[in-house]
Amino acid sequence: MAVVINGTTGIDTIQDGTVSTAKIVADAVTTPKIAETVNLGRRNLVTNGEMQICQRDSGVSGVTSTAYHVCDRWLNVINIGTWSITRQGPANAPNEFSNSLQYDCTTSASLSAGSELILAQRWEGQDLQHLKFGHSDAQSLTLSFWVYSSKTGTYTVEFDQYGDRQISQSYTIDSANTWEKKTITVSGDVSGSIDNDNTAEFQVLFWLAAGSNLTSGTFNNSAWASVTTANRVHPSQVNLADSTNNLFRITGIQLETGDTATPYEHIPKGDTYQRCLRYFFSSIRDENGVDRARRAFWMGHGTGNYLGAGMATFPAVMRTSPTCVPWRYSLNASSNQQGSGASGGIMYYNNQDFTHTYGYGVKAENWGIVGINCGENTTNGRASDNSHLMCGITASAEL
Amino acid sequence: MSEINFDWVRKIPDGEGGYDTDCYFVSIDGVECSVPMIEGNKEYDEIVKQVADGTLTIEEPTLPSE
Repeated sequence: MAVVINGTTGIDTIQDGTVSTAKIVADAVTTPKIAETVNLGRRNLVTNGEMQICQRDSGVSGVTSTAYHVCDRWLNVINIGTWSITRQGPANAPNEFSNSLQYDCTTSASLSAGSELILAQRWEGQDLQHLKFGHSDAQSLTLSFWVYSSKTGTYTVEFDQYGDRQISQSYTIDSANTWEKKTITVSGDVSGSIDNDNTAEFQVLFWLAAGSNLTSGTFNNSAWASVTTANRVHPSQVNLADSTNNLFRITGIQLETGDTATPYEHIPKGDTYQRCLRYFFSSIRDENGVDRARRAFWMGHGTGNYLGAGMATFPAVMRTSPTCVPWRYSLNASSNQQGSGASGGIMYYNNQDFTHTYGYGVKAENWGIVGINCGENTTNGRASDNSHLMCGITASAEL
Repeated sequence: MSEINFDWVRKIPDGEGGYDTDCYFVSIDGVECSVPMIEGNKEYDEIVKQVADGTLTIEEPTLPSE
């Protein structure tokens, strides 16, 4: 029935108290409508989802093993094929984004039973308590992302409570060498639990290849369940390692609570850099993986014993005491160099490289470095009192 | 499959006849690093696990060239 209000073109005011929730049609106000105009901040649980930050390196080649190789917070699990992994620029990203992460197969390989090729991000349990896993009102999760692949077919995304319980979903890349946006929603886990601590309690895994150990069971895409290895990956999962013509790119990864994918939450690059620093810090390279040559981070002095005493504070408190690599600081070197055995010094020691004999131990807290056990120097012996010591540092507190 | 491939894990002398109690000197896939002995550090937790599993032994310090 049409409503005419005194022949006017609209309603000037509505009396206070006359519009209640019950009087609004259920589908009149929806999340997508709100998201078009309202900034729903900090909803993306993913860090560095648009692949802007790469402190370790902007690209590596010849990759055959598992590590955080390029983009911060993104673990590359690899035991099949050889890969060139690079952060790509705007030309190889959807219009909305400035970067993507690219896998380029440089040596192909056939699947073995235990083959794994995965891109993963992990979370501390203390950051996911609001998911309410283990409760009747556990939050559903929606993952959205952009993918581009030379190889069409079925791919798998797995949601995993770090080995305890998991659920997977598949998606299809329909067109080769074309950016496609994918959205996946999974229910909350009313039976699981996420410990409230700073260790890895949850991960999302983008499978790019998987052997029969992972694909031979009944694909678990229906409900959260205890992990059965054979049920984790779709039986038709693409093997991205089967040809050197294969190339895969991904960016714009967003994980949020609820069952609706909202527009990607762009945050300033500096903010993303700060979030990444909780897990990895490099004094020798910037957020784009570019060398900061001739920069010392830690500086100390010899004590006449093995200890070099001196303090340096990380730019962000890290998740835990980090694993550290000292890097040579040398006025005579054009770039920082990593210490390596007796042939490579790690510190600048009274105008000489400090060539360690027994190794070194960086005494790192989660907030900074309080000293370095320098051991013996092959030519100078122990660092003498008040001798100068300095080095760059990479520090990893990754999950 | 272990995510971390230790080439070796070594104690570090403290210069007073004992060993450093804060960290190990470690090589992972050919990259040398210092791993703090603290639960929650990913590499340390993996060292503890592999030692318990009998697949890794903490080595005495030796000259790297030996």
